[in-house]
Amino acid sequence: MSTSQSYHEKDLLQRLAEGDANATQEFFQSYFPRLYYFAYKLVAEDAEAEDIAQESLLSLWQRRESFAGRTLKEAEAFMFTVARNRCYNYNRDKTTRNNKLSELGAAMELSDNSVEAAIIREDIFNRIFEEVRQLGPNQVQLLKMIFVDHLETAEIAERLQITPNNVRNQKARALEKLKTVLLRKRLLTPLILFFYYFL
Amino acid sequence: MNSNIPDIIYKQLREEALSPEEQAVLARWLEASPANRALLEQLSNEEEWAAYLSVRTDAGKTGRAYERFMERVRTENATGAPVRRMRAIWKWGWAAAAVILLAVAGLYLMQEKQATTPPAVAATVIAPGKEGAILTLADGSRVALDSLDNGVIATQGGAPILLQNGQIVYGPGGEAPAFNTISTPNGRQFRVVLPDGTTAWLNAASSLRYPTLFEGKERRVEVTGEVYFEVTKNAGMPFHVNVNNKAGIIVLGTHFNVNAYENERTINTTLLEGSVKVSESPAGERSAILKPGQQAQVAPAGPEGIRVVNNADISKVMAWKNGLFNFEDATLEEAMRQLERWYDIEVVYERGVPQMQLAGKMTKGVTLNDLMTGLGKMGVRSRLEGRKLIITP
Repeated sequence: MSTSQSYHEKDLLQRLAEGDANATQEFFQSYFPRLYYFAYKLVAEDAEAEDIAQESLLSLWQRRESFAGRTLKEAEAFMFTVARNRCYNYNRDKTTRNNKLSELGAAMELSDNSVEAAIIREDIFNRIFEEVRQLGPNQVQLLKMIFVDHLETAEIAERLQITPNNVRNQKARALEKLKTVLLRKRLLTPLILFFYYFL
Repeated sequence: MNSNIPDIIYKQLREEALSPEEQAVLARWLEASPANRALLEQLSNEEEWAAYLSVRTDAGKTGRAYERFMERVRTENATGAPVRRMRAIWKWGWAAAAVILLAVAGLYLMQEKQATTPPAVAATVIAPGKEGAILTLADGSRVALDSLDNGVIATQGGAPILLQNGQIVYGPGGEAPAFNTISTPNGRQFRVVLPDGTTAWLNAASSLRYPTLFEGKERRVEVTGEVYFEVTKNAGMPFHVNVNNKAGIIVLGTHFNVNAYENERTINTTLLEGSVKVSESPAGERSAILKPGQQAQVAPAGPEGIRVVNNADISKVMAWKNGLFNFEDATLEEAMRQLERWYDIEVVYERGVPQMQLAGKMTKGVTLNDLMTGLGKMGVRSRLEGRKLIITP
């Protein structure tokens, strides 16, 4: 992590403590999706996962003054701990309800292993996402269209109002920088198909 | 947790060389539990990654969540000293507190949260409905009652409306009673205590309009959808229910259920206790007086007027309020309309509606996926595509 980024980190928490609206928004937008994803993997319910993410962020917000001058890593660890505890409680209560009321609802308590796995999964996916984000917002959009929307080069070109060649160039540039195999594999696929086509 | 593990896994995913020591740590970690082995596989799984990327790039969802967060932050700022505020309300007295809304107590099986949008992550699980509603104030502004914490949620005529531990308390407002509407979307149900002590339970996709203060010779409310009433006795002030503007019910004090969904054939009023007069129109030209256990069926468009059924199946009528689906003798279509409202889904029949009678009861607290597993055992085959439930032959 670069010095300027850790400076920015301290600054962000400092500004959060001072009640800076932009800092609050930036902070929320960085952490809400991460906490939501983490909680969703454990509780498997959209609204509940959102509540848990909200509560975790609110817990930190309530303690924003004591987090001023600390690192984002510490703030992050705090929020994920709050989220983890709420997921435990939710699943414990759900198990009790299911045992009482339903033969259908499969009772499942969270094991330490599955929680640890959920933390690691989010952490790794976050690193991969940061890898993509380093390339710039256009590349994030491009990868979203490829992985999430399953668009082909021609469709991406149409949506972005650029030429298919431009799309291929951007893919090639992403390939140069991205190291994670998962990302590379998909970016390579169309090239391979292209190759077979002319065989 | 071994703090090295994420670093080592990330290296591995980037095909960077691992030191012998790192390889040993990774091997030990993989051996430790099947969850770990599954995780490593998922981290190379494109669908898992796509789900993550979709969450991280869903600006709409994050934006809406941010709005809700800021509402909470503002509420926290506004109610710095909740204890003192509570005392102020006591001073006005509960008599002045016009309407108390209570979250459904005891329906703890409803606490499971409902998915408002198809979750982007993993296979779609459609959660059951839960308690919650929207309060529409006299000026038309709306307040969602299922995502708020204690504090001031709105003001009406200068008076604050406070949410305190699941109760909504109105401060003293203007002189004249204001009309408020409580409504539930698909996937929500809610309980309201009106100023006269009458309690109303709203099923999903229903509404109740009422004054914040009952005055004069009558108590008048309007309903749509399905509502169960326990009306407080007051012989001097009959309770009038205007149903969809298509039927009227007059009662003095009694327990009854009104089912008036627009997509059901008839408006059904079922009496549990006391006595009610059901009329064909809100004005009350043709009417019938019900005894407990009877059900009045009004067909809004039909010429047949009011049909009175003796020995109505009360447990079937009241199942929704008791947290159950009762599919006894229900046609598949009837059952599916209930699922549409509770799970906020659309049911599509791939090849016509299979003619079948269902049986049995099920709790409403399960996910749609589990419920369909149960219905599958009765021979109802289906598959889920987003929020569409497709019934296959």
